Amino acid sequence: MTLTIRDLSVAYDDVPAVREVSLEVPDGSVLAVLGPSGCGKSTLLRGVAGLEQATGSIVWDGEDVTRLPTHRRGFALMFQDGQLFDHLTVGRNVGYALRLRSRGRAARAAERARVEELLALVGLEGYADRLPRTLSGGERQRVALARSLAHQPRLLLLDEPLSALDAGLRRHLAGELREILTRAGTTAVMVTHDHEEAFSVADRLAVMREGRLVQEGPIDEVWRSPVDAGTALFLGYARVLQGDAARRVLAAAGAPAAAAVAVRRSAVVVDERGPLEGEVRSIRSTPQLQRLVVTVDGLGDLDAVAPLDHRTSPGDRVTLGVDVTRVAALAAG
Amino acid sequence: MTTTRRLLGLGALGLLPAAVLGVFFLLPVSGMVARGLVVDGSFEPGAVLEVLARPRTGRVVWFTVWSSAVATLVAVLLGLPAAYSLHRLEWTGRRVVRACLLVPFVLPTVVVGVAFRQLIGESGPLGPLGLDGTAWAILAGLVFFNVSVVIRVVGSAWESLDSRPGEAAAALGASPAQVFRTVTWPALRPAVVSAASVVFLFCATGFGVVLVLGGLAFSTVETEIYLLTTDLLDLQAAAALSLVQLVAVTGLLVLAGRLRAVPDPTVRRTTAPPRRPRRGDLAPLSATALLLLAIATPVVSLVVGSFREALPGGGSTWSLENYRALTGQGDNQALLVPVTDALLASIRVAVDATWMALLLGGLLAVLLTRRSRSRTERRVRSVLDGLFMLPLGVSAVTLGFGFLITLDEPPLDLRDSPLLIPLAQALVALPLVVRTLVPVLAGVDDRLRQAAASLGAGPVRALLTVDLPVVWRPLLASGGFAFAVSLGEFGATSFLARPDEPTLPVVIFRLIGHPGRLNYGMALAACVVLAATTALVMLAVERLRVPSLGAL
Repeated sequence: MTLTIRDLSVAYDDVPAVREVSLEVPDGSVLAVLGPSGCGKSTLLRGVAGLEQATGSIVWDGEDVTRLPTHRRGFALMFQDGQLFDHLTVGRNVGYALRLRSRGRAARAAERARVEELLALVGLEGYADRLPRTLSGGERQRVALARSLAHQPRLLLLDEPLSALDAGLRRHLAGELREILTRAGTTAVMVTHDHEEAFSVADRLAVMREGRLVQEGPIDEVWRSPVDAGTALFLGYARVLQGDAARRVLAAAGAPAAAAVAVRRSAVVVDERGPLEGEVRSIRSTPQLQRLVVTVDGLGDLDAVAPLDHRTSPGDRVTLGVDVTRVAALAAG
Repeated sequence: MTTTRRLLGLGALGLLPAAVLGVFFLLPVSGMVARGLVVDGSFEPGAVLEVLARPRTGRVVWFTVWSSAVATLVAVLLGLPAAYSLHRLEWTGRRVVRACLLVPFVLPTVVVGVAFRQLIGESGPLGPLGLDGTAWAILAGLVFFNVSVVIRVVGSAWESLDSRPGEAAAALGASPAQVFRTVTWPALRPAVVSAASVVFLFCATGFGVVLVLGGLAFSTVETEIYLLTTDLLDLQAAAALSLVQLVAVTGLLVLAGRLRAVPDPTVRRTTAPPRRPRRGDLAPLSATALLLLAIATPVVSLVVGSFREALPGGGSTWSLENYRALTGQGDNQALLVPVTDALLASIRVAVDATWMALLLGGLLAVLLTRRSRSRTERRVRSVLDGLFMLPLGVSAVTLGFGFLITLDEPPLDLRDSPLLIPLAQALVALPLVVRTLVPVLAGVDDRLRQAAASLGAGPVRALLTVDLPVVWRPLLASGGFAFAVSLGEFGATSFLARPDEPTLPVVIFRLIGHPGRLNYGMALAACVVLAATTALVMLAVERLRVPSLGAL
């Protein structure tokens, strides 16, 4: 029950959008495909769904589905903006896939029951008779999710399911999405450009850039050792230092030397016994800590943090330590 | 800008169109209606009822209704697969085929009539089928030039249909047929209904085709009005029929407007890029190919016929004689002026009609798309909108007839004015111009104008910098469209054109009705010239790629 993608390529008018991507998604796991907009991640998803002509192969549990039309693949695709059918009620939207598969009185009763069950799953009990356009953005996405889960697809494809929502709702729904997917035991591939979203929903992470897969693996592994500078920056690391600077920062953290190092914003901490020294350029207070930019001697500007009770002002000299869990050594810049 | 000044400005914009509509539309039409209701100075609606009770009237109305309904149904059935193939699929030659399939709509009705007569007439390629003089010939003619309406209206709706709901359905397991039934069709239905109602309207008021193909045996309300007026001189009966038509057509227009109303206008429409055909698209593509063949056949037979010269001893040979004869006046003095003169007159008239239609249509479109600031203002706008659509509903024959009986005495004795025919044609083309411009102007976000105003641009400057860049192509396109409509206009012109200054369609109709060896061939050649001129204009317009062109 594994999705295996081998050498998948998709081109629009001979311009390649996805280039020879190979991936594996084990049964019951959620894979997040992360990448900047325009990197081909949505196209990859559409290729897997069968909405784009692709070369290479897509195999589900030993069955090659590459040549199958979309509706015979048994996958479900949830769009960024839901794509609810505006002319059908919420209940009929959710039951759509069930109605395609069976008719008759018994089937209709079963459909009603299943729709209720799904609406309960996504927290929208009693919404069955509403029309989609009376719903808020978050509710629409929940309905779209329920609709995608209705016929128990063997694979759920999610195309930026939360990015149309505002920040607070997005965080809240990401947690719920994770829970719903786990409870339904669905294998899923989710495409997103937001690493926070990927971390809160997925088990595994694949990073794409310019149509190519650059790194893939369990989330914490990718997170701890990004494959290159671009990936590190995209995963939320603040800066990538090279050469001598990298060596000094790694030495300060007590880690073995490497060609480059990616540094989180919170990796450099004001510390009286720290091995680095520099001059504070600017300070900004946040609810939890102070964020500083420090010009470290012979290193250049670095982001650093200090506890709220630490009194300092621009122009002061401070000493700095490096938290080893918040830097990642890179093989090359 | 104060409210009063704003309203005054809007009123000034509307003044000219309102005056023109009042004098050259409402006055003639009401004059014609009065002719039917008022007998010897007293109001007698009974006369109308008397005309309606005639058995021939019943036959005419029944034929109008059933022929229009059947032609509409066939046109929709043939047009749907073509609309799909031409607007949703990407294949080599798509543009050319699309342009070809759209030509019939602007082909002058007289030309269509003559082409079909040539095709199915005794000596024509399909002569042995014995279709000449039957209702089937009229139906075929009606379908011929209305399929393009269906393709255009439904095609542009289909093109702007978001493909993602369909993809969502497919991803949920819907087969292509199920996707069409459950997702595409519900979204497409308003456009199809709208196209069907417009086609029905065109069929029911179709004039040239029916007159040429039906003769006296088959008559629709429109041709009956013409025959009653010109041949039988029964003006009262003609007026009575016009009245009936006016009521029926206005009712239809209102109904079509209701049906067209989109339940949720806020739905954003996108233009999906057409995709390459797949194996499943073979059926619609073949249907399109067949349609193209069916559309091409009468046109080809017309062109071929125009290059054949009938020999005195029977038989025929290739020659340019028919075209050479266009500088003459035909056999048996069929015409008072050479055909070439008529062509020049047609072009002159069309130029005048075009600038009139553009001026009036432009003013109206601006007026109709300004943001309403009060409920009353919005009401006035919607009434105006409906009022200026009326020329679409009132048959051109009624209009021409009305011109004839109301504008004949001082101070409005305009029978000899060279602007009379262009004015009538401009009124016929006006709804098409307005309907092309309004969606474009309405699509301009009003906040852009507000932004321009906040940066210091006056109303005129804002119009020039915000609206004009968007609207110049549609303006040009609708100008071409009006030109083409005017070139082929036959209904109103047939009443108004003086024998010594006819337009080309009038000359063609005269030629086919006049015995003489050369006259029929000349009519074919003149048709080819007229059709080629119109087609050239339309192909140029098509290159401007204006999506809402002629969207009714």
